[in-house]
Amino acid sequence: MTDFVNKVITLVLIFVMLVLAPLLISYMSTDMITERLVLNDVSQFIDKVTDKAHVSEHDLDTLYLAVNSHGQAYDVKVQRYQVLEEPKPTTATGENTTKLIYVSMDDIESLARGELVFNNNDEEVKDNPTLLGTTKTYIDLNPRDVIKVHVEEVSISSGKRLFWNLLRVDKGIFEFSLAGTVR
Amino acid sequence: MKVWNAIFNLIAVVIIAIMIVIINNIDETNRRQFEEVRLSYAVDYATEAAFRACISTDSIGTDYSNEGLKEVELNPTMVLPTFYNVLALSYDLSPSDANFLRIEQSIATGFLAAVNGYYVLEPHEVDINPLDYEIGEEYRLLWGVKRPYIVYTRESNGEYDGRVFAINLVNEKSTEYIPEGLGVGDAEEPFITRDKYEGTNLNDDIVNMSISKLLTEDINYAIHARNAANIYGNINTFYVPSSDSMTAVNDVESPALALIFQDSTFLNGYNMDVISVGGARVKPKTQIIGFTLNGTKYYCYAGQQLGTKFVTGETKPQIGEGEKLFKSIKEAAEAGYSPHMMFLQEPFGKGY
Repeated sequence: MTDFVNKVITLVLIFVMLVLAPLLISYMSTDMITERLVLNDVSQFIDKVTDKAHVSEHDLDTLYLAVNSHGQAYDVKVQRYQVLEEPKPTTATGENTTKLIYVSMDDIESLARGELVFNNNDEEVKDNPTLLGTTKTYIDLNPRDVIKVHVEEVSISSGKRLFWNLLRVDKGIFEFSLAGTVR
Repeated sequence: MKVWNAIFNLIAVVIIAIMIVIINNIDETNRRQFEEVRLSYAVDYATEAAFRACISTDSIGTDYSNEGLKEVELNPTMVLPTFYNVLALSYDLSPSDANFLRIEQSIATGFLAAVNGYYVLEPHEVDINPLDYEIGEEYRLLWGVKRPYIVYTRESNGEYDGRVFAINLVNEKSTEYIPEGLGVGDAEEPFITRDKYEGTNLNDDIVNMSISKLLTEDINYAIHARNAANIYGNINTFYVPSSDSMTAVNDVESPALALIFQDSTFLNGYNMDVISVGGARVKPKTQIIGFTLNGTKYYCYAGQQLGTKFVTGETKPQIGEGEKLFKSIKEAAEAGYSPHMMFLQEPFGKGY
C-alpha cells in the first residue's frame, strides 16, 4: 500500500521537476524578452515622433505592427496632450496665479481612422489648393505637446496560461504607458 | 529499503521547494528589470519636458551658435509642474494636487545650470495657512536663488591668494569681487569684469574643477537637508560623475537640468532611484537643397552646390525661386528630385 503511494508521489515529483519547472522558466524568459522589446518599440516611436514634431499614419501603422510582431497581441493607444495655462481665481490676498494643465486632443484617433480632412484654414491648402477635401495623413505637433502611448496585452501568453491552469496563479495583464514631449 | 525511499522522496520535496523559490525569484527579477528601464525612460522624458518648459523663448536669438546660448533665458518656475504632469501621464496617475505632492516628496533635489549661475532645489518650511499663527511643518521644494559660479584662485604654492571670481561659461568672462579696504587695488567699484581670464590665475581646469566641486557640495547639502525631513529619503551622498578620467571633472557646457528621483514605490512597487539630466545644445543641421539645372531637378546637401573640389568650370546653379529645402533625402526624392552625382561628392557646408 505504502509502496503504491510512494510510486504515485514519485511520478508527480518527476512531472513537476522535469516538465513543469523548466517549461515555466522558459516561458517566463520569453515573456520577459517580449515585454522588453515592446518597451523598446514604444520608446523608439516616441523619440521619432517628438523629434520630427509630426505624426503620420505611416508612423502609427509602423508602431502597431512593430508592437504586435513579437508573438503576442497588444492593443496600442496613442494620445496627444496639449499644454495650457488656466488662470486660477484670485486668492484672498489678491494674487493671480495660473495652473498648468494638459488637455487631451482626440486628433490622433481621428487620424488613424482616416477622418481628418483638409479644410480652408490649413496652410498646406493655401500652397496647394487641390488638397482641399482630401484626408489628412499626418498631424503637425506643437512644441511642449505630449505624446502618450498606452500598451495593453489582449491575448494570454503561454506562460500565463500554464500558471493559471496548473497552479491557479493569476499574473494579471501586462500593461504600461509612456509619455514623451515634443521638443 | 523503505527508509531509502522515504529519504529520496524527502530530497525530492526539498528540491521542489528550491525550484519554487527560484521560479519566484526569476519572476520578480524580470518584473524589476522591466520596471527599472521603464522608470528611467519615464523620468528622462519628464525631465526633457521640464527643461523645455524653462526656456522662455522659442528661438535662441539671431546668432545660431554656441554664443547664442548666452541669450537663452532660463525660468525655473514651470519646471516642477511640467515634470509632475508628464510623469503622472506616464504612470496613468490623475493630475491631482495630492499626486503631485507625492511625486514632489520623491524628488531628492535638482539643479538647473545656466551659463552664469545655477539654481538648486531646496526644501523650505512653508506656511500652509497664512491666516492662523501656527507656522506649518510642511517642507516643500522651492528653487533657491541663482548662485554664481565662484572660483577662488590659488598661488602657485597652493595657498589661496584671496581673490574670488564669478565665471560666465559661454563667453568666458570673469568678474572679480574686490571688497573694500583689502588693499588689492583700492577699487572704486567692487566688481571688475575681464575677458578670458587675463590678469588672473584662472585657467579652464581650475574653473571646471571649482564648478564641479561647487555643484557637488551644494547638491549634497540639499540632499541631506531634504532627507532629514523626508520619510521617503534614501539617498545619502551624490557626486557628479566625471566625464574625463584625467581631470575628474564634468563641466557645464550648455544649460542643463538634472533631477534626482528617489523611492519610486508608489509608481511601480519597487524602491528605485533615478537621476536624469536634460539640456539643450546648439548644433548646425545640414539640409537638402533641391534645384533645377538645365531643366532637370537635382538635389544635394546645402552648401555642396557651391563646392569646387570636384566640379570645376561648370556653371553653378543659380539660387533662385525654383529651389526648395528638404529635411531628408527621401523627401527630396519623393518630390521628384534626383541626386546630382557630382555635387554630392563635395564636402558638406554648414547651411548656405
